[in-house]
Amino acid sequence: MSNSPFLRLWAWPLLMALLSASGLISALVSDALGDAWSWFGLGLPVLVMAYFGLRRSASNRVADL
Amino acid sequence: MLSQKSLKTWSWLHKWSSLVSTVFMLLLCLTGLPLIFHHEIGHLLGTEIEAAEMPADTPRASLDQVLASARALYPERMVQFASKDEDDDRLWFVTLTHTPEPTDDFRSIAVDARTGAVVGQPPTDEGFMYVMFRLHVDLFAGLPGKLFLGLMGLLLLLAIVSGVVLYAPFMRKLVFGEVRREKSPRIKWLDLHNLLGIVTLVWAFVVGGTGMINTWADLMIKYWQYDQLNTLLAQYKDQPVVAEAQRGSLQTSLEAAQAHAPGMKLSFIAFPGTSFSSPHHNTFFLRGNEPLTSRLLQPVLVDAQSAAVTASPKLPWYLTALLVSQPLHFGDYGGMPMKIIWALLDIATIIVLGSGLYLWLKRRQPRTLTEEAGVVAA
Repeated sequence: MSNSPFLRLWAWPLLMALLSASGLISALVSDALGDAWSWFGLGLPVLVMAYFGLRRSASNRVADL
Repeated sequence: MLSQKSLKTWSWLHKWSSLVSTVFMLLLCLTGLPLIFHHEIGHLLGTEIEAAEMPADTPRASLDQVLASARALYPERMVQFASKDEDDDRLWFVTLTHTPEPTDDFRSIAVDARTGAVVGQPPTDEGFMYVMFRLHVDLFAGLPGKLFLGLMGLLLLLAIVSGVVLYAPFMRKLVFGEVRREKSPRIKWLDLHNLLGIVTLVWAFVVGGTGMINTWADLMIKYWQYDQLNTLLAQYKDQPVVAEAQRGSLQTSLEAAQAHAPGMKLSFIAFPGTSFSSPHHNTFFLRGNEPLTSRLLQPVLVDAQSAAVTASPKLPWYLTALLVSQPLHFGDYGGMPMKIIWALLDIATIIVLGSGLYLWLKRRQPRTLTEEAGVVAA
């Protein structure tokens, strides 16, 4: 990603926040398409948490060898 | 950038807003989890009332007959509210009480909208879901319990904001999502706390904020009666609640209300003297058909004696805000996938709360957490 220290720290959190907010609103104002976007917008942050939260760190993988 | 001093201030704010509210937030997250699926659970337990299958064009019974059937079960009680099932307009639900005032002592009777016969009485004050509901809404303590939980909600919002501010100094040396598992368990849980906290931020803030707004519902409705209905209904000032014997036909009143707002569907009816109406009116709350307008209500006040429409005031902004905040709290507006995501985000929040408590308990052994974590203040 970018070299800017601000973006290095905040790009991911901002992306997660925008996705969640758009998901919360879309299902409120539109039925079929809005619902589908809300599953994506709120579901992706859940997947991101699961991926980073459950993956084993690089050093552990090295230690296993 | 945070100076050393403001880092201390924000840490203090995060610590205390969290510590005071954590136990209650854990309770709300745990009791809220089954409440997300209350329809499905009611279905499984068989406590959900179902209407019998009949041809779709079966004529509807008169509303007066529907109410008479319900009241025949409890002749000593009066009707406070009557509502159409949100998903199934073949059912009416009639609320019977001893008083027009808000009360916990009520009976809910399901009546078939076509035959006008009683279908059943869903239990309203017992069972697992009832206990979950009361613990979640008011801790079995009525309005004071609600307002107390609302205050805890406010502390949660403070904890979230201060947590976001603290995210920067704690994460400056790390990349997003980095969890230092090889260090102490304390550091691992700190990194998980920061990861889950920052990702659930917007959802937790919205669900916490709308939950807090919901705790003020009773007060907002009281204010609406005082603020709008009193001026609107000045001509009825000082008249007592219209006696039951003097009331006109409710079916005629319903038709008058629907003719006044064509194309809208009935949500519920508040009877004279109850908290959503005036002493002299049956108030019909109608909702629209679009995704957003189906959440909003249009009250139509119908004179209880003459069955003629008196007024149809627009709902004030604070009640509109309350109605829009409800789906955002319940997560019931995007089908089953949304409910499942809501539950997963709720579980993530439980982990954030639990890890936060753990980090506080382990705050000084042997170094302080900020030292060990490599916090960069400025």
